Amino acid sequence: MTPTRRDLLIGGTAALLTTAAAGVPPLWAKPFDAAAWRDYADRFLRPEGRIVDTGNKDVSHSEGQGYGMLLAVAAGDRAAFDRLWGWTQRNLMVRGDGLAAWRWQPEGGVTDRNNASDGDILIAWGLLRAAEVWKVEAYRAAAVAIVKALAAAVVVEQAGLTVLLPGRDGFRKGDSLTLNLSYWVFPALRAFAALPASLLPDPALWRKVADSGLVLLAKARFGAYQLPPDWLTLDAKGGVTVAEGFRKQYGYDAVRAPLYLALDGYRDPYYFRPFAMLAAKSGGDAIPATVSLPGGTTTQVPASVGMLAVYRLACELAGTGNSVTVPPLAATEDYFSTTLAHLSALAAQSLGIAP
Amino acid sequence: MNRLIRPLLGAALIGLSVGASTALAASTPGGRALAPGVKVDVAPAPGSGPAAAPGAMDDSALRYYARIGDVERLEAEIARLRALDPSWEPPKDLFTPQAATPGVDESPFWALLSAGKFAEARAAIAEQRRQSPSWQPSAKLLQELDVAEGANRLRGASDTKRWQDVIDAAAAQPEAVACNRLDNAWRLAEAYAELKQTDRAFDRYKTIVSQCPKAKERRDTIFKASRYLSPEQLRELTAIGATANPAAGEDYTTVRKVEGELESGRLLERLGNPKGGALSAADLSRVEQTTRDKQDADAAIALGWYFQRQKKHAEAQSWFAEANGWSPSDKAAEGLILALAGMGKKAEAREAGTPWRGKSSRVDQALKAVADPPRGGTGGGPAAPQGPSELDMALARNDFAGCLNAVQRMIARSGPTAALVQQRGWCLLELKRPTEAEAAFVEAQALAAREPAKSDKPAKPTSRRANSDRGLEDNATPAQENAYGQAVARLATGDVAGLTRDLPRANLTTTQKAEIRASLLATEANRALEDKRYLDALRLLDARKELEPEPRNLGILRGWSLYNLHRLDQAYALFKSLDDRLSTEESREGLSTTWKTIYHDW
Amino acid sequence: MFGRSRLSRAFILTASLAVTGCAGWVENNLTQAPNPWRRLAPADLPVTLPNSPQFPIVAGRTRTTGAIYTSYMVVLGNPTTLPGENRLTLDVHTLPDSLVGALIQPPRVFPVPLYSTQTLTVTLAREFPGMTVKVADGARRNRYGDYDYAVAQDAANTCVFAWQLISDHDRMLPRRIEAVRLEYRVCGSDRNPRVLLRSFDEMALTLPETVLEIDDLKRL
Repeated sequence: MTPTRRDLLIGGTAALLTTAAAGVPPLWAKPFDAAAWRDYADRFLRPEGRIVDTGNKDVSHSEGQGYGMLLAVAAGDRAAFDRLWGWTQRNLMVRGDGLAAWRWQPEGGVTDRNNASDGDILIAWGLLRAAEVWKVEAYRAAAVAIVKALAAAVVVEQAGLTVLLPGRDGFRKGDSLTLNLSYWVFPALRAFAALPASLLPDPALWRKVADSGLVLLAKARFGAYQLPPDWLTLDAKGGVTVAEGFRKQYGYDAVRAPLYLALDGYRDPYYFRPFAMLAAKSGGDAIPATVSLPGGTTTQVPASVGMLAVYRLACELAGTGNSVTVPPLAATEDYFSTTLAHLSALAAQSLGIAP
Repeated sequence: MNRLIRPLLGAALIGLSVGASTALAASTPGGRALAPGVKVDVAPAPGSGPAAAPGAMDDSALRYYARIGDVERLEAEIARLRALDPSWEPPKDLFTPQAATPGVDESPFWALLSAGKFAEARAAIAEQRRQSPSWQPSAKLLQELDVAEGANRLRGASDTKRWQDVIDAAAAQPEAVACNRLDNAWRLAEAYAELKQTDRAFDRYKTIVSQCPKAKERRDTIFKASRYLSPEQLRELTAIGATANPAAGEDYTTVRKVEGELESGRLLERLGNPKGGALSAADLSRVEQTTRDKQDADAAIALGWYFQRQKKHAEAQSWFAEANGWSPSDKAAEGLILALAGMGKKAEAREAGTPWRGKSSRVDQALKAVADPPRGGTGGGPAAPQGPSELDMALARNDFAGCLNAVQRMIARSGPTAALVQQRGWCLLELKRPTEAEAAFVEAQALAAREPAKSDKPAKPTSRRANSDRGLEDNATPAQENAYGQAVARLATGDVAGLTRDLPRANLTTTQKAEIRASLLATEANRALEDKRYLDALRLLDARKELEPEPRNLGILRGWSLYNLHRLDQAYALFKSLDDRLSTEESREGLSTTWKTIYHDW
Repeated sequence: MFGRSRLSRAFILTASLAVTGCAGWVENNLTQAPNPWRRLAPADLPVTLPNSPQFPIVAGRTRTTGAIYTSYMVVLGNPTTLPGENRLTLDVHTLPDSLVGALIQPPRVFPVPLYSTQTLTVTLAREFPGMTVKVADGARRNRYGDYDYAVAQDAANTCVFAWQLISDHDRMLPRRIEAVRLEYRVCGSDRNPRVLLRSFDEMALTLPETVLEIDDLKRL
């Protein structure tokens, strides 16, 4: 792989990050740098090595561990990374199949042993980044084990597509599948596909997963803004509908779809336009956090700073001419919002549309 | 049923792998490696990119159609470009192989587009743009993709009754509901109507009949709209369709006639319904007029029964006679006999039945009612010269609740007979109570076995099955009639497996057995289709065809089986022949779906 | 949890299954189309009805849909001259007995909730064409708990339509049964709907495994 600016940024070296700190344009959230990481770790990383979801009763989950590990690598903080990975192994990798239990609660620990595929994907990607940056084969081996376990447990074929089940159990209803497009962490899938065949039996599988994700994002467009739902149903014939049994909305999950696309270097306006349209239609008012589908009813809750950062990115890439002002992160900003803000900054930097 | 089966093919036919985008990316010359630290290009906003030189036409679609040899679309595209710029001439080198042009070869995207794989085309384009940030797909490609995708989304939503999604898809891509995609325009109007936004539905229909130039399209639109709009709205729609924006060479008089045809259809429907009430004098004369104009024998028979129910026997007689004159049938003769009998003209009534005597059970029954009303009503003596019995009157009115009452009263007076109980069975069947009907036929059989004499000799049918299409049939013994009744009842209860098992041993005439067998095969063929066993469906339909000519609905079923087996030419030919004989929503849907699949015109 | 609602029900529902060693895509070999009805002698029906001269059992039928649904229909006598059969139907939803079956279940043969205002209106119009229909304000109770019903009347006849879902698998239903849906439709000449509902009020289920009755539970 030829290293690109994106690789350098997301792969991250502390040196590069610290130099990018000065001269922040006012409209962008601050770039992700060593200071940003220190602040993040102070607020969300407990000494034992778990990231706390402050918006959700201080639970920890595999997704948070994955985000934490990625940001730690980007900031070059190997000690923090090791604490995160250690805690994850001890507390979440308790299923016996190589995947992580999705949630750990301060009272009771792991009460639901199902996995969340995006958490596993983020953790494996974090490990791969760490293996490259710090040249540690053990990280790579651990990553490969997770990728193999994912391939066995959650990658399935449906209607000619290769898709990710959101978790190992409970997402098949009759001959339909319930899917979550925000679990397609595109840059991670690309990293999996780039693994040598000597380590992984079928790396190309992950290219198919990524391609299918793009296909699904083109199919799953609902409501006036043609937004993807948080949860969708893929039937045996390839038809896509908003899933029953979940809140029928676009929101906290699906907002990550454009973020992951941008992080992977996609820039086709077609894929960013729905999000830019939502931002544009909201005009000067706050962008709503969720939009019901297909009805279009919006919540009173406004999009968080992190979500606004994603919208700003989407508008830039959609070329719709509108822009979104992203306020600075508040001192009380929750874990999810802060994470989205940092990842958006990384994506913008890697695409060359922000310093 | 069809709706469910149709999309399957989409999935089956389109087997192209999603991996196309990777293969594509590897083969394109446009991708370039980026040196470390070099800032990658930023995609220019759409429209600001390497736009075609002023005056130059975007001929990418043209070249693609030329290369794949799609002459029809090629010509349409040439016409479109000429319309944009009359001075434009198609390139001379359209059919000569093009040297690979620098940049990105768009043909894989066009191929996906014309295969109906819009989402896959989007994915491939996005992947290409990721790899060659400075490349932009041609405006023509994006535009075609936008419209095709919007149309597809709209159809998918409409097929699954997601009406709001239909409206959203049309709003996002208005070209998807233009006149050249009339079916989609109808679906949009239908979506508003289904959401009870009748005014908006009405607006859509008005737009179609005023903007789309073809008279036939306007006419079809009004028929479509008749499901949802009030008579006043339809009148307005017809007026608009007959006058607005006339195109040269189109004859809109057929549009104007639609209203009358719709109105007569509605009135005839009311006429045929015993609970429909009386029609106003104006409505009645309107129906009578169109019936005479079109010499419509079925409508005339419906009018006959309408008057017969009101005991206006003379009017009834004249309409049955008209019907019989236009197209002689045992149905018309049956009505004629009963109307004449109602007028007290017994001799003429018997005369009217002569041509059908012994050939039609309904005529025989009618004659029997005239000459020999069933006993019981008057103390059991031989037929006294009197009017039709309560039972016969009820049957003549298609009043099956009345039939049950009459049978019950007769049984209460003089005890059950095999004939009466069998009659009860036929009336229960008409009331959609097949389980009780089956029990009645079993009881009738037991009674017949105990009744003296006539039991095993071929006899005139002892009771009457209303609305039977069995005009001509062989003579069955009472036992056979009872067995036949049981079989019909079991069919109605869905006891297909049991009936199939018992049929070979059943005491039925050859004709009866063939009829039951044919119905069983039709039921099984239907199940086979729903199970997606299309070859089985054809096999069963073929077997059935040996017994009886194939009715229209099974022809449609055969068409969908062929379609799902990808025997598209045969499916198309079949739908076409059905549609040519009588164009219905089913035949039109089959025809257009097959056509679109053959020509990828989604 | 405010705001983010993620990874919700499906996880909790299935976490206890603890499926192991069965990965990847399992071919769905369950067909959703129901098999044809078969006759069933009244004695073999999984329900006992009170003796009723007005509404005797005319016939019993059963059919299966996929591997986990079994339906029964009891056709009852109809003393009126109205169209349509009097009947009691039961749909029994059993739990799959294999892990594969647990992962791939065909869609339910009956919706839950059983009726919406809209589907009820359509159903009642189909069952009782031309009659005046009123949905009862309050529920009634039989041996298996509360049920809802509607009454249809014309000048001479009265009909009732009752529906009930037994889904209390903690207490009433045996382990293997997920739910039982009941539907009862009877027309008669008695003006009092309660008389027409008697069979439904007093029926007793005799499925292979015992379904506990409300009274049993009170005693427990």
